[in-house]
Amino acid sequence: MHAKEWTMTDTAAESMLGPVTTRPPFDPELAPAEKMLRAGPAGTVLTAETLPALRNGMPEVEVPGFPEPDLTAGGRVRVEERRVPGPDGAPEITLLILSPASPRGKMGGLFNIHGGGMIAGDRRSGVELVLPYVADGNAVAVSVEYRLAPEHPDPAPVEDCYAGLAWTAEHADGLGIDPDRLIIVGGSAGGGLAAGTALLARDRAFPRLSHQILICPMLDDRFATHSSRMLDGEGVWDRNANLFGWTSLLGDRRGGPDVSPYAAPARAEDLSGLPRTYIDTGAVEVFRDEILDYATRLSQAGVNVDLHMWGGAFHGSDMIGAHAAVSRASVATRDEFIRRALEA
Amino acid sequence: MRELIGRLESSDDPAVAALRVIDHFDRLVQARATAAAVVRATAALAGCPAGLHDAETGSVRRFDPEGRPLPETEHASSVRLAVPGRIGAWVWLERPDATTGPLDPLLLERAAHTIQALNRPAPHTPAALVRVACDPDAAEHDRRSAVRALGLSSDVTVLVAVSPFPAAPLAAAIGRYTVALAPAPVAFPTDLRAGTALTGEPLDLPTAVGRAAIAFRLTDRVGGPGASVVRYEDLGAVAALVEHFSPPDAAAVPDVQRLNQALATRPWIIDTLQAALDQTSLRQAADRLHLHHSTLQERLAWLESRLDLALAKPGGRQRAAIALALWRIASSEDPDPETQVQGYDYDRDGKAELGSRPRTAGTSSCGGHVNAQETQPDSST
Repeated sequence: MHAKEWTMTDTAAESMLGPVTTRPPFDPELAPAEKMLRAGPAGTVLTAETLPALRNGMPEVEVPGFPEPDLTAGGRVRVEERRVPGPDGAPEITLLILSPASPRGKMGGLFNIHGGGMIAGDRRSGVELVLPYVADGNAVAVSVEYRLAPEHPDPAPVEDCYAGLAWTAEHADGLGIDPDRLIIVGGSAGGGLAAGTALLARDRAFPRLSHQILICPMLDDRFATHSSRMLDGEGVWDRNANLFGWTSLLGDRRGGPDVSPYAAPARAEDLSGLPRTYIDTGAVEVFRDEILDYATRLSQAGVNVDLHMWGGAFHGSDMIGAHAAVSRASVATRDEFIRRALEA
Repeated sequence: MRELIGRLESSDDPAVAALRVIDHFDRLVQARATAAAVVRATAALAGCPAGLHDAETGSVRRFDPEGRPLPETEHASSVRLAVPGRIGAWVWLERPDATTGPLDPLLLERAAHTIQALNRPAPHTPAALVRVACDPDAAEHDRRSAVRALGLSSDVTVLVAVSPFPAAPLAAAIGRYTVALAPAPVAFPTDLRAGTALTGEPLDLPTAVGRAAIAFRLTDRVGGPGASVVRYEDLGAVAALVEHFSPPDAAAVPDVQRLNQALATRPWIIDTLQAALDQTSLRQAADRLHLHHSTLQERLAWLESRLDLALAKPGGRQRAAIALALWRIASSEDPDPETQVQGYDYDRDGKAELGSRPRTAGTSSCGGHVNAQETQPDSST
């Protein structure tokens, strides 16, 4: 397959990141998915040259188990897009707004930030995560189109996310959102941006978030943890891809002293006053240790945290290997938390 | 990069898709995944439910494409493939309207071989062989070799019960029943509650199990006035009654409803009907029930006046007999049939005495008390 020849050792990353550290084995049921992905998009070494192909290379075709989501959920969901003000001096941003076709009073709000390593994805990516709660009439979801690195480096992505969140909170009443149940949610880079946006919301004293749901979030640009050096040409989003993502976002500042906690939330020293947190990780992904550390420090700062680490799971394996028993357990656990968070 | 992996690279090239399927199952073998994981992978790759039936363990596993477990009921119209090297084991896909995908034959073939490769060789225990021999879904040659391995030739008696057979060497739990096979004919122990069926052709064992299960529905408890061992061959027309009435259907018949209502306060009525129908004289029936014959007469009068079950009138015996058979059918799936009717308490000598325990009470050793209801059967409605 054409992606195969792209999978080669990145010697620059090797010298920068040091030897590969020990990793736990993949779950036996997930092993085929991991291998299949290495032969496809996840096996591509990310460079400035391969990035456009990766952004555009995902054909919008139906694959068994991964049909393109019907955002209207068979007519139960109203789909709307709004152009709203961006950060000061920056262009407008687009919000994808999903609300129940037959609303029953005020609902929880799910402010969704898509993933894609800071460098890919759009406002529609991954909204399957929040769609069921809207279709069930329990939530209004808002998904933000933020500018991507490297064309738009930090702070553009996180400031776009904040601008979208602030607009959503200001217009909560019109959107049918109960301002006491405003939840920020994101996976991967979206999880890191959600954590950074939550820090911004705390420090700017608006809006008040009830929960942050951080799904295997990308939090730390420094590559100092064991797990950040653990995967080289294995799993999904290995250390080379992660280095490319952070360097795209931060340029020469990556790993240095001039990175703000809003870009890399692991750098935040004060985690007090943050919302009730759900955070999860696979045991076999580069983000693992920064996630465990973030959860620990949130708890020490007095924040209630639900932390789940799933043995044998790799980054995003609950989606690509959704049929596996460990995926079902992790998805069900997260779903149950979100339903509780949305309760009045 | 969650979104990048949410969409697999898809190819229009069937050879590439086929390679992907083969690769997926190979990887499951390398990783020593479980059989359930193989079924889930099959369902996920096919995009429809998939299942595995294993006659040796008597298990069915079904999953939908998202990996959710489905009930163990098999999908009758599915195309199946035998798992090689494992007798009575099958994998299948559940496509709507019996359609087939282009990769279905490959998927099934790979799934079956993967299960075979991952299979820790099952010991061919007597229980596993009994299950295969009695499994209507097992291939004929598998049933034939199981029968041979069990040492059964021509006449076989099948016994069906709900509790384990203590001394039967060829027995297995199948569904809600315990099934035992014996070279026929056998002498049944007296403390056995079972339905039985005889077959002269061991390949007809699946049918014989069904017949023994029919007979089981008509059994009385051990020590009751009715037969605790019922032979299918003795039933004749009564078997047709069992075949056509499910327990809920039987329970809905008004005579059965009245019997069940009356049982709450008159725990003796089933035993009384059974003895009066089985014995040729009132005196014999009273002896069977360890009652004075005048007490029995009072009870029969009560049954006639309250339940319209007049055993002495033309057609009355017939109605009572059918009502009783339907009552047994209706009660045959109660959780513990041994506690269905507790009209008696037993003392330490094993002598039965009348009591008026609630019908769910357990047997106790404090016998001997005679309740007012027994001597004044008409005192309440």
